[in-house]
Amino acid sequence: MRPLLFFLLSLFISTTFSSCGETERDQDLETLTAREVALSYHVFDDALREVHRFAMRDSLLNDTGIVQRFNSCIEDAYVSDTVAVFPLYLTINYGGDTNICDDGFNRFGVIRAAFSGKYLNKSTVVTVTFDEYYKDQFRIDGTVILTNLGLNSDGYMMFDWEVIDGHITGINTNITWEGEHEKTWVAGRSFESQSNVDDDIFHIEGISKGRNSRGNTFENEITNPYVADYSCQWFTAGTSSLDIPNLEARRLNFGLTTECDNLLIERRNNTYLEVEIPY
Amino acid sequence: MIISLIAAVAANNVIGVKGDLPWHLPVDLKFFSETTKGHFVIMGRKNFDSIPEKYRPLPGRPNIVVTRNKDFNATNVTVCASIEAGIEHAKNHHESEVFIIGGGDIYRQTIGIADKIYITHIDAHPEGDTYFPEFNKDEWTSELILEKGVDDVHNHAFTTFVYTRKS
Repeated sequence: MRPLLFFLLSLFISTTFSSCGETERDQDLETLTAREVALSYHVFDDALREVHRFAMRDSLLNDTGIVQRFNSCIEDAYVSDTVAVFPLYLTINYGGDTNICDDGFNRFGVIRAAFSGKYLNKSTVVTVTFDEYYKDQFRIDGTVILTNLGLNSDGYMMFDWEVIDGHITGINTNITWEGEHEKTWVAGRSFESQSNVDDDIFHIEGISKGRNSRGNTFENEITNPYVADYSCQWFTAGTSSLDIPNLEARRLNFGLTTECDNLLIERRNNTYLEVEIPY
Repeated sequence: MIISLIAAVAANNVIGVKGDLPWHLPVDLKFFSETTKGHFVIMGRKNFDSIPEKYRPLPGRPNIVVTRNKDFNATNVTVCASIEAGIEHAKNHHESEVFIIGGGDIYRQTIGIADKIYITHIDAHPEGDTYFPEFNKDEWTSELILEKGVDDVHNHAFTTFVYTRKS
């Protein structure tokens, strides 16, 4: 009798306190991780675009001979000196929280960028940091290091793009993110079009990793370059493999370059799920 | 090698009108991108011409255009005089799954030899001039792989099934 009682008691304890059934959250059925990976890429890429837009139009940071500000939502933007003695420090101040930019996004706070040399010169390092900076509902923190690698064998300018201690916070959002990527400038770099940033297209390849808002770790490896076409605020193409420990592998796909939207597809074998990047 | 058709089809079987799509469904386009990525895609000349010049050939997948017009010329595509030649070309390049992506005539000529059909069924009855061929669903197993309701950017709901021919 006693062994049976012990067995039943053990069974009760094991099923009550030690069962290991996965919940929906554990399985990431809501595509949270994909959404937050895509959001991370979007906000840090967006910050770099803002720096790029300024650098390409400023004679101190570039060689175009053009000095102009570029976005109506910017309260103040300036370079630390009036002569090209490096390092130079760029400050883009979006001011308070009611600044709708030309692209429809809301930005406020400050982006700072330290240039070790002219933006388009090989080996120049641009270090980007944030000061109470928000893009729409998300606060962005971290350090972005962009290193000009010069021209590749196809004549395209390349950059190393590193994100260190990236952090995105907002309502129900708390993402840590870091990445090591290469950006290849595949279109829009001709001298004639240098000041026209909207025709610039970059291909982004590399790996990022981090922790989503529920604390799960992830790693994302780009398998076909993400396409950052500056005529569109979102990535227009590219695929990646997204790994979340103990869960089925996912593949992310931003599309065919024909669409400009905040949507992507997450594929798990023969299941396709829509993912919408919040903003 | 698996021969697959992939199409977005309205409830009245319309797939196109005047060389264009009668709807705008970004998620379906991304589904198309994800499914065909890395695989040979075979299309008719009119279908190729309907893709905006900026976006063709479709990136990230070898494009085969079927046409009898010997003067047809396009950059970075393989031109074949027949569908059979296009399929053979893909097979010779060790393709595992080739995708037939339209238009209507090409679908009609290949549905009889298809192993799989990926169809996005769109909840709409648009006017059109190009149709997907009828097929007997009893001869196929089906699996729902994507569904999407109406929202700000999708003016029609749709469901996507993959049909696999019963052996």
